[in-house]
Amino acid sequence: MNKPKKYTDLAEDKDLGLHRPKPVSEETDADLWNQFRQGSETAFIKIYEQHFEQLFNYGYRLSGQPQLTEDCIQDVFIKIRLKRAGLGDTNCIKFYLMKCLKRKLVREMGKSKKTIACLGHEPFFIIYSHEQVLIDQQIHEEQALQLNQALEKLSGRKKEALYYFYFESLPYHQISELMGLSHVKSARNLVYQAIATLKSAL
Amino acid sequence: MEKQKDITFLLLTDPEFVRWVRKPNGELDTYWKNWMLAHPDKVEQVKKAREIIVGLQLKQTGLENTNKYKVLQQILATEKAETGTSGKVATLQRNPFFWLLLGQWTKVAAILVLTLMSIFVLSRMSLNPPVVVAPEKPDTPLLTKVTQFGEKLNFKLPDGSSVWLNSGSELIFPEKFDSLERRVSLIGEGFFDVHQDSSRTFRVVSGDLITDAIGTSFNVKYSEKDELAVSLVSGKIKVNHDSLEHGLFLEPGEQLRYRDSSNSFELTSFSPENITGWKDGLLQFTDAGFDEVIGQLERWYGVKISISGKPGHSWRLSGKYKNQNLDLVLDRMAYIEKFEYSIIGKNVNLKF
Repeated sequence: MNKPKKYTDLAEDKDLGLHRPKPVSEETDADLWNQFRQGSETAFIKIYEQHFEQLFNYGYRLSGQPQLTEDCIQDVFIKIRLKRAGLGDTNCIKFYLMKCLKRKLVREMGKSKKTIACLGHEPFFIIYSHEQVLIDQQIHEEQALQLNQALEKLSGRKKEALYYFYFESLPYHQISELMGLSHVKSARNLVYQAIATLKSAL
Repeated sequence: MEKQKDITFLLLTDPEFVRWVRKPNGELDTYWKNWMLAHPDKVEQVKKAREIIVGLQLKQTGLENTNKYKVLQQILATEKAETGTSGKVATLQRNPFFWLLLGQWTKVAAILVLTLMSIFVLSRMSLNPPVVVAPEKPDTPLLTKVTQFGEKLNFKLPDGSSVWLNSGSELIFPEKFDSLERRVSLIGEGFFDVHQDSSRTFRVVSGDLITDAIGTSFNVKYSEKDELAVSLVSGKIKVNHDSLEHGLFLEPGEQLRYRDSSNSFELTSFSPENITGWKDGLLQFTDAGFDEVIGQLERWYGVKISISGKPGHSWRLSGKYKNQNLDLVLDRMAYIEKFEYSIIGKNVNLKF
């Protein structure tokens, strides 16, 4: 289980047995974005309302600095609002905004894309909790403990990747873009390696 | 057993499996439930992967941001600081030959040009006021500028945009534009030199048509009650009407005509001089009929024209008169169309 490389091939194996349903929510995002770009303030407010909390949590986890995060979010929205007509297409507004925010935070903090997560604070603190888990448990107390220890040992990069993958449901190509990776494969590898570490703890 | 482990791993790294666990929807439900039925030996792995994903949690930041709306207000307040550059417009406007320089002038990117024209093909009776849509904030006092027949007016709007109002027209606008849009209502004919501010659409409401300045410069022609026409000189505009689902974008040189009675739109090309010439004191007719000529003269010179007798044939008059007195114009017409005329004060009589 500690040789994650071998899983890169499996990633191309899209078929676990049946045909996949296609993701459904993308069209409405594109519509909303177009309305916004064409000048609708209703669309702007919708976008703001839908994404502020998530962006704040993301920015704070990334930087550990609430005030800076708030300022950067403000700047991002001011910028897209003033330049709306010249903005590009997107069918995932969340990802678009996350990208803007991270870029802004990185610039403000004078850090590179790769090191931003390695600051004094603990970015993307992921834990394993038994509380929410169902009656029919596969993982017992002791395994949970080990899982938590494994989580703690993960590098900042891996945690960040896991955050995008499990908590923001971003596809691998977006993860690689957010993390400044040149290949989708690299993002996939980060996630795979992290999960392989976790699995080996069980 | 190694193979079984792989399944859990595959599930854990499968975005769609994660989505099913985190944010299930009907399709994903159908898919994974049937997938389990198709792979009864892998149900255990599904359960385990599910459990891991459900159990993974982000440590709470212990921080709740209560400034959501404070931040929003700052976002909405920012545009003003960045859009106060109207110096160029002011300089150009003071130049009396400003309009003669139109060719060069359209290259100045900071200026939007919008002409909204209404041609009263008949006469003042067509001043049947279209529905005037009030600007968004009713608590802002509304201002009205009116031109009588024979009168033209040039003034500035609160945002620095300039307006030329042709004779017998009316423009209603708020004392102060709000932060969302700059909306004015026009009855009649006007030329708008719109100050660029991409965060606030400049919107002209004329009857049922709403014209938005989008890119740089454009020219709208809004004619008599049954016919509205929008003409774009340069830049980009969007014309909205109830019957247009997404509005209509015009390219420079294009004119959109709309007939109320038939609810029909027609896209043609036009010559800018014909549309905006009035600002330069250019009175012009193109294949104009008798009624149209009389109506235009009345409006242009602010006179009342009475007719004795009848024209011997139907008119198809073409001609341009630049800054001419009424008697000179009538002189030439009388020669071509064979009539006599007299001018007494504001009353004109044509005798056939």
